[in-house]
Amino acid sequence: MSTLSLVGVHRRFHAGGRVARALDGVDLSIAPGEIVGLVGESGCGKTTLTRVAVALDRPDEGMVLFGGRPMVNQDGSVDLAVRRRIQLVFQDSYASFNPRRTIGQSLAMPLRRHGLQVGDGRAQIADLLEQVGLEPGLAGRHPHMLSGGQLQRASIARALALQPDILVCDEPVASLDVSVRAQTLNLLLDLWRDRGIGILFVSHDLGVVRRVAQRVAVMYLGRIVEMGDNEATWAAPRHPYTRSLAASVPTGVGRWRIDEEHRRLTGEPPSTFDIPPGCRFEPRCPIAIDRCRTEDPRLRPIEPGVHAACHLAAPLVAAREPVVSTASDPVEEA
Amino acid sequence: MRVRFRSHERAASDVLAVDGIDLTVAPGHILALIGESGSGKSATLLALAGLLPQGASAEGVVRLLGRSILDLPEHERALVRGRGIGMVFQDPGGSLNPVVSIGSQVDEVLTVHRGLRGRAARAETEALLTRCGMADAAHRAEAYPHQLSGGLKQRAAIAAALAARPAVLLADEPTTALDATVQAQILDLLVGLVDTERLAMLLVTHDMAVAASVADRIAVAYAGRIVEEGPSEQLIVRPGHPYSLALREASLPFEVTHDPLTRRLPELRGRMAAAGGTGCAFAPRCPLVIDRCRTESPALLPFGDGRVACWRAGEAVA
Repeated sequence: MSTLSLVGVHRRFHAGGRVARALDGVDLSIAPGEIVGLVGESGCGKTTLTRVAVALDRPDEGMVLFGGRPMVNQDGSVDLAVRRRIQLVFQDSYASFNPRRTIGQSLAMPLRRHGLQVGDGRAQIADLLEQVGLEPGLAGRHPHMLSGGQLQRASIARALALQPDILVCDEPVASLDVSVRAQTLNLLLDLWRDRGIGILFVSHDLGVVRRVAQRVAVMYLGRIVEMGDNEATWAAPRHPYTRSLAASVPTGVGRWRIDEEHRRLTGEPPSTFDIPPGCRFEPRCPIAIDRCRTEDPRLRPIEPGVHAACHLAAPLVAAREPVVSTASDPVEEA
Repeated sequence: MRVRFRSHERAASDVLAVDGIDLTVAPGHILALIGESGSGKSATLLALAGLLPQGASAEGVVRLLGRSILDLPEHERALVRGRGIGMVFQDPGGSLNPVVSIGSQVDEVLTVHRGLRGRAARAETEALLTRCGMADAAHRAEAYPHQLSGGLKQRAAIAAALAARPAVLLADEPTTALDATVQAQILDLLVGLVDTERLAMLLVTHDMAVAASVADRIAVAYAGRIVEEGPSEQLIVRPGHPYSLALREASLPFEVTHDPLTRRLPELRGRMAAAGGTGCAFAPRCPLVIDRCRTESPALLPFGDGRVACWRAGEAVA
């Protein structure tokens, strides 16, 4: 079992003479046996990150390491033996299955491609379906004959076929009904617990990430702005963006009230074509100071196991006080 | 109300989507209708708005400001729908015309329903867009839907829905497609409008957390029926129906009870039954099921400050 690491990863896209910095210097690692949640709004680079992590896309700068060695060879290829060990589960399972193949045929493909098929593969496919709680008889059906929940299980079975170390799940439960969502999350949790698989769990749904992840990374405009222990991060977020995200999740009962202490974000994130100078969050930040307009904060340790990219992030003792300030107030710098 | 979708040939295979749902929303209040796929929540909304597709039929009574609207002739119903009922959909891109600027789309509603034209219409349009939280409304009114973000499009769609000064706002998953921070802004806006405009709002959502945080009352739909209805707090804190409890436990922003060792979440096995069967539709999945549930359909009876349709109402605990 090996760890997957992204080190200083940049990924840029060019369009109409402009450059989008989809990933703008990302460091992230997923070890076997841990669930890392990755949260952020649309367009922050979550999906680009997952594509780079499974080598469906290549970084422009930086490296993806697997077991401490570069995942991509000098010539740009990826060894099958490496690719096998990092598998992707997509959000839209209908789109990720070939509608003209049966589920069994789709599950047999990776086995055959990687030379892992035993005999005609039937027993392996039946076994895979059982592992994800599906009737082996579903192997003969086509994707449109399955429910959304069944098909998402089938896509997890397909990812498991190659016995991966790391499962990268891009919004795996976003399109499922709540009761099916719990079943699917439990399946992933069982796999994590029983086999020690590492999971990168990408979601825009903070409620889900709060429940399943051990560590969480918060992404904003192409960069991770806060990373740390999942429970501790949500209990006391150090980055103002994380605080705003947490305050946006409806958790209470009764008429929606604006929580002044965690002023909600106004506006929407700027585009990765147009990342502001200085701190990228500064234009929306309720506590920004002059320094934030000019100096880009790096992700730095705030406390053991807690990292934030904010000039004003401080250890918990100071952060407990609600930060109420305007840009001109003198604010103690960390 | 009942809603039936006629299948092509035989009446025997008609699909019953809504099987006797009755709901009331007062001005200045928000009623959330929650349920999973197949619960009948969308069919209810379409029937209320008079937007059921061809071949579908609704029976029952829909009263708006004391007037029954379901049996009105189509041209009158169109007027009532436009003037009395505003609608906001999940996908604002789909409800806005892509080749007309958003300002002109709001102008059009003002012309049809309030007789405003030209500069008077545009001034009112800008006021509406501003009230819906769109900064720089004069400039933004010239924008086409594709030039706006999802949040701004939803603001424009809400402005168009309010242009005819409706008494009722039907909102179908209005924030489901939006990011958390934008969702919070749109919920702020809707709650504010309900208060200031004295709108009666029916919010259809699959998200119990959204329902709990904005609605005064919540109705839970299951297989075409309401299985529980009551004040939000009662329904979340002391749900009377085992399905409401299961939904709460599966709604992750709440403090769900999960096994600390395995981290597993409580789950509800099985699938929703079709509407219109005998007995309680939830019986096959219910942890409290007794013989009576399989043969006799429970009526929606008073429970606390709400109503519950369950032979063992109030017995379910997490």
